[in-house]
Amino acid sequence: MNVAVKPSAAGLVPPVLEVRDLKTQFFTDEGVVRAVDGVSFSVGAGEALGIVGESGSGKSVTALSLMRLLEEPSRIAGGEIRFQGRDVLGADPEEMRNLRGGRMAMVFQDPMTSLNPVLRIARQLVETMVVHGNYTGDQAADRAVKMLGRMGINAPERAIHSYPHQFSGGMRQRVVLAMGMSNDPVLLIADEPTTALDVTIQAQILELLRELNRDFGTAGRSERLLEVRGLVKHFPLPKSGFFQKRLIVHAVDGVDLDVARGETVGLVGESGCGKSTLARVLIRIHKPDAGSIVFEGQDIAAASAAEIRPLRRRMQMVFQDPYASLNPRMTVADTIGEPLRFHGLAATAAETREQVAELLSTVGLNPKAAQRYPHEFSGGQRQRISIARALAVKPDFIIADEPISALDVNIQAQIINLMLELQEQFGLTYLFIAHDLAVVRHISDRVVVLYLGKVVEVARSGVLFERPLHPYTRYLISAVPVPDAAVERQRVHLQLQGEPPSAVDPPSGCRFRTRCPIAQPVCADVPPPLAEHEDGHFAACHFAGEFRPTNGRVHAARHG
Amino acid sequence: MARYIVSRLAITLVMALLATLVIFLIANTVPGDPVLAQLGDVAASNKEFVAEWRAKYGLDLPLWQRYLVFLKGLINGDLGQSIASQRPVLADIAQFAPATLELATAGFLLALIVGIPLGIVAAVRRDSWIDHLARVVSLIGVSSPTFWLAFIMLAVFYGGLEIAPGPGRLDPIAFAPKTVTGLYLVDSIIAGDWEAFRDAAAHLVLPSIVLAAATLGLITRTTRASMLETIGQDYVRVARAKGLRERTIVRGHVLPNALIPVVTLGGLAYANLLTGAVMTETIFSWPGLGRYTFRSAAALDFPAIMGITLVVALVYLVINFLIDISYALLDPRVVR
Ligand SMILES: Nc1ncnc2c1ncn2[C@@H]1O[C@H](COP(=O)(O)OP(=O)(O)OP(=O)(O)O)[C@@H](O)[C@H]1O
Ligand code: SF4
Ligand SMILES: [Mg+2]
Repeated sequence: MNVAVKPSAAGLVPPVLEVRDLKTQFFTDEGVVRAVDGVSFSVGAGEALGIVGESGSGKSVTALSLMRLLEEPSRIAGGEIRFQGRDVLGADPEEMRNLRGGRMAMVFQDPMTSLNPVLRIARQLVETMVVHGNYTGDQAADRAVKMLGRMGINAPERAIHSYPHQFSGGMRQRVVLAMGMSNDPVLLIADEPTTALDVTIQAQILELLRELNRDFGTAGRSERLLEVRGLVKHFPLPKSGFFQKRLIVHAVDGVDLDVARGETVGLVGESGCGKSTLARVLIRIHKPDAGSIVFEGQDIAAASAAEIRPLRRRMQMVFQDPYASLNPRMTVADTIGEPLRFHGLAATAAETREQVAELLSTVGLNPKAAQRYPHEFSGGQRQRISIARALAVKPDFIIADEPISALDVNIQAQIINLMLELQEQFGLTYLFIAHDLAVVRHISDRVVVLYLGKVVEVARSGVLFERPLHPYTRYLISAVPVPDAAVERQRVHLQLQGEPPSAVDPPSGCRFRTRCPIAQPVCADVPPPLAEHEDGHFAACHFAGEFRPTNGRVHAARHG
Repeated sequence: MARYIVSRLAITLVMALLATLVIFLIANTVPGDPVLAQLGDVAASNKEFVAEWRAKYGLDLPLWQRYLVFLKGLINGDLGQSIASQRPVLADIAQFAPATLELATAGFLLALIVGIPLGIVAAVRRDSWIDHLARVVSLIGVSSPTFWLAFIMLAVFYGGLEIAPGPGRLDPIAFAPKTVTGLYLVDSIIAGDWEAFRDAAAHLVLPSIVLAAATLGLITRTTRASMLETIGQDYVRVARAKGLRERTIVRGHVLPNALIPVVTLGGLAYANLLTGAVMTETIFSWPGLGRYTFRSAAALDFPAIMGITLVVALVYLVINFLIDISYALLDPRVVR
């Protein structure tokens, strides 16, 4: 559940929403179920508050309580809810009705059932605008079309006259979102607005929500956790003959990277471009050949093993292959318990057991599984164990190296959701490595594109997908399918020609030039710098943004 | 939509043709000789006489030929001649049908007008007194036997309180309005005969209540259940979260969904009322199809039986067709 709040024009001192000691109970035949038991929080103007918890922990009930939408047999048994200083629990029904869908709106968990099947979309969007008296019928109809368009629905003036069953899940969720936003609410409560959707559509919806929130202007920038400059890692190959020159693999070749606390940075690129090496260098499994790695103000690029040990606790890694990364001869309890003891986080065996059990349930596994061996688990479960192991030492920063690419698609979504939940719960920072751009887009705040050991583009996730500047990024994105079949058919599919050149002998100048459709002579001579083209959007290309393929043919605007 | 209607119509026609075949076969293979039943033992022992009879009604032809004759007759509106009344079956049916139509329609409207609002209010005000009342009404309606209810009604309102007229469509001394449609209420309006209108209406009250009781119970119950189910849907909660007024929610969001199953039930119930009024018509001396059916069956009057059965089948087919069409109108998911 997410609660987003729009900043008020004024000084915005008091919180928009204040919940104190909220208790919501179900009066069932078996007795009273305390679904929400003494919850307190407050949300300031412009803030986005996430409420995370496992299934059944009371997220939805809390959301419904805020809007006083509970139905029999549930009741708010105590506590206080203040919205803009007003006592929500004391409000009379008419007052409450005015708040709902007006200044306080909600987006529900399941878009498939949130729309009335026998009413046209238009009617369902318009009525909420009209009932609150903010718009006349005509104005509302106009605005509804505009909102759908803005939500990324094609031909909204036509689509709006459809019935819900004619829309896909993702489209319906957009409608539901538009519905929530239609009266410009001060508070938007979103109860897992994406759980019923597949990963790709989830990504788009989350991006939309993020954009909406950005329009409202969310809270300020967070501090920098990791700052990497000019990082280089070369691997010398064994000489193939006595008189042969020693060959060197330029795996990571001058990488700059910033990661803010609480942020998720996605790292993408073709196989072999240096993603995993970069990850290993960052947590100092490898020692870099040059450059600096500043983690929380401390440069660890040249630190000794002893200096690094305490930091190991703060940075953890989850690997791609949950089969290979777990020791088959260690029980789950030992695997997770080992780092606990190593870092002195658990003094006694009993304490270790207790923490292991807690970690297992945190990642959605039965604590009773602790005494079992890795082979007794499915891939998804093993990845949960890996995550539990990483979490054991209470890290700030987790580098996940393709944590889902070895898993089934449906399991992938679960692991992603688990990671997102854990992030909110523990304030984790992620560097998320993947080659599946749909997933990266879904989970990342910012995305870094790597090509042959160099960063070619960095941008906020939505911006990167909308306006990629580097030709290589464009190729990567065109390979990501779009859920809307009609759009998908009309899209230009670009096929990147050839294999990436060898990292042993990278091309001169721009490394992408051998495959770049718009390469010019200058590209062979001058390596393009990673330059900022718009706020926070960097690209390393002499002709950034000039590769615009249409209808299968390639057009390139060129400067002389 | 047009394509949907045409396809439904085609299906309905095929079904109608099948119905004629089935009806024909059943009527011609029932054990019991209609000739015997009609002529009586003495005449039936006269072989020549019997042969003459059989020839007269085409009973001597092979079965398939008789079916073709039957079909050809149907197309010309000829349902054959009733053996009992010696009149065309169609004329008989035309004579008895209006009384039934009037009674069934009155009962059906009563069931709808009372049952649907009662079901709606019962669901919206769940566990209130009106909900309990609705439960009692539907329980009584569904579970009390027609004859029992009819006698209670007659005993209380006619015999006891004397506020309702007795059996029959009109007072014995009153004159029927000039026949146009055969429906007394309509005919009396056409004739401007308010005396007859009031009399006919009063006579309709008790039998239509008795006839409608079960249907009313069923409709109340179904409406309530369907309403409750719809009220529990997410989109209704969403409607509430949008800040809509409770009245708008019920009318605009709940009803259009909740009434869809009620339409099916209502349609079939109407067909039932039109075709299954034997008991009520008998008790209330109502000169309708039910009694005609009963009489024809007892006499093994097979042309009449075939005619009636055919009418019944057609009523069901037509009503089913109408249900399909209204379904498509009510639920956008039906036609794509
Ligand atoms: N109608 C009900 N009767 C009794 N208990 C209920 C009812 N609805 C929910 N609960 C209980 O309330 C608690 C919170 O449920 P809620 O639906 O808020 O979970 P959630 O955190 O939103 O889960 P999910 O992530 O699956 O959506 C659970 O213990 C659940 O069993
Ligand atoms: S710098 Fe030149 S070769 Fe490299 S991507 Fe840009 S246009 Fe292509
Ligand atoms: Mg929930």
